[in-house]
Amino acid sequence: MMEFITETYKELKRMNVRQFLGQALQLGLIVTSALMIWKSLMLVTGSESPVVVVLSGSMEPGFYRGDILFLNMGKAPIRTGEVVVFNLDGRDIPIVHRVIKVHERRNGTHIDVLTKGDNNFGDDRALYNKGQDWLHQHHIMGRAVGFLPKVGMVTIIMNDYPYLKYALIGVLGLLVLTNKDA
Amino acid sequence: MGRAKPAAAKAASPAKPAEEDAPEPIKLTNLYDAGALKGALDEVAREVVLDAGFNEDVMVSNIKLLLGFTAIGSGLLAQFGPGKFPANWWMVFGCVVAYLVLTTLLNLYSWKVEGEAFLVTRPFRGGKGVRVSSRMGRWSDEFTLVITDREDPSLEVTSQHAIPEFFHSNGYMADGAWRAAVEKLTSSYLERLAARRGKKDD
Repeated sequence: MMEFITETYKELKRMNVRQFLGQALQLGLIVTSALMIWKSLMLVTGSESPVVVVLSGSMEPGFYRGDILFLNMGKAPIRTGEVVVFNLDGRDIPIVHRVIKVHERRNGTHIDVLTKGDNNFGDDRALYNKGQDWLHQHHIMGRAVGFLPKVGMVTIIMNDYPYLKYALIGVLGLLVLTNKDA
Repeated sequence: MGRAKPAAAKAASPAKPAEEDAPEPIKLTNLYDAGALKGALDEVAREVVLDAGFNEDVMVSNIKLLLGFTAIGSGLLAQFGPGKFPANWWMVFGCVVAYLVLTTLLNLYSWKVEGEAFLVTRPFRGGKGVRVSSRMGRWSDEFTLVITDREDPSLEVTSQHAIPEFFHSNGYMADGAWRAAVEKLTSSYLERLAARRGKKDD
C-alpha cells in the first residue's frame, strides 16, 4: 500500500501543470458523465430521485431493507394503494410507504394524502412534521414502478461507514489521475 | 552528441541515478504493463523532440481544456444550480444537452487535430509542425515511433524498436539508448523536410 502511494506521488511530481490538468480533466469528465446519466434519468422520470434504496423494514414483506426502487412521477393522479416516495419538509431522507387515503378537491387543484407503511402498526401521522396531518402534491417524489432486490445494500454499507466511501473514491481518483493510457 | 551510450554499457551501472540533471530516470514497477511501457517511452520521446527545438502547440491543449472544463461546469450547474427539481426541468435539460454537445466537440476536435499523436508541435524550420505518435501491438514487444508532418501527411518517418532493448530487468529505463534512438528519428525527419523544401525552391 505504501509503495502504491510513493509511486503515485512520484508520478504526479513528474507531470507538469498542463499534463496534470489534462488528467484532472479526464477524471472530472468521468464523474460528470455519471452525473449526467443520473440527470437524464431525472428528466425522463420527472422525479427528483429516480432511484432510491429502501432503508427500513416498514414495507415488508413487499420491500426489504437494501432493495432498490425505480420511481416515476407521471401526471396521473395519486390513488390509494399506490406505493409512493415522499420527502417531508426539512428532511433529506425520502420515505417509501403506501397511500391509504386521498382527499381531492373537485376541480383537482389540491390533494390530501395519508400514507402508512405496510409493516407499521399505525399510519404515518407519527412521522409527519408537528401539526401536519396530510401530505400534499409537492411532497410526493414519485411512484414505485419497479424494484431490484438487495442490490442497494452497498449504498447502505457506504452510508453506515462513510470512510469506506471516501477511501473508494480516493483510490479510484488516484488510479485515473496516474493512468497513462489516454 | 556524446549522450548515446549502448544499452549494454548502461546495464553495468543501473543503480546510478540520473546522469542528466533534473528528473529521475523512469522506473517501472510492472514490466508487463503495456500501457506503462508505452507511456514511459512516449514521455521521453516527447522530451527529446522538444529538446531538438520544436515547441509544443499549446493551442490544441488549451482548446481541449477549455471545452472539457466548460462541460464539467455544465455538470456542476445541473447539480448545484438554482431552483428545485422538477421546477427547473428546462435548465437541467439545457445542461445535459450542453454537456453532450461539448463532449462531442471535444472528441471530434481531438480526433481531427491530434489523431493518435501524443505531441503536436508548432511550425519549425519551414515545416508546419509535426505530430509525434507511437504504435505498440497488443501482445508484441515491438514499438513503432512515427513523426508526421502536420501539413503534408505523406512526409512521415517511422522507426521500429524492440522494447526490451530499452528497459533493464530491474525496471529502470535505458534512458540514453532510447533518447539516442528518438534523436536519430528526429534528425532524419528534419533532413527529409529540408530536402523537400530544397526541391520546392528549385
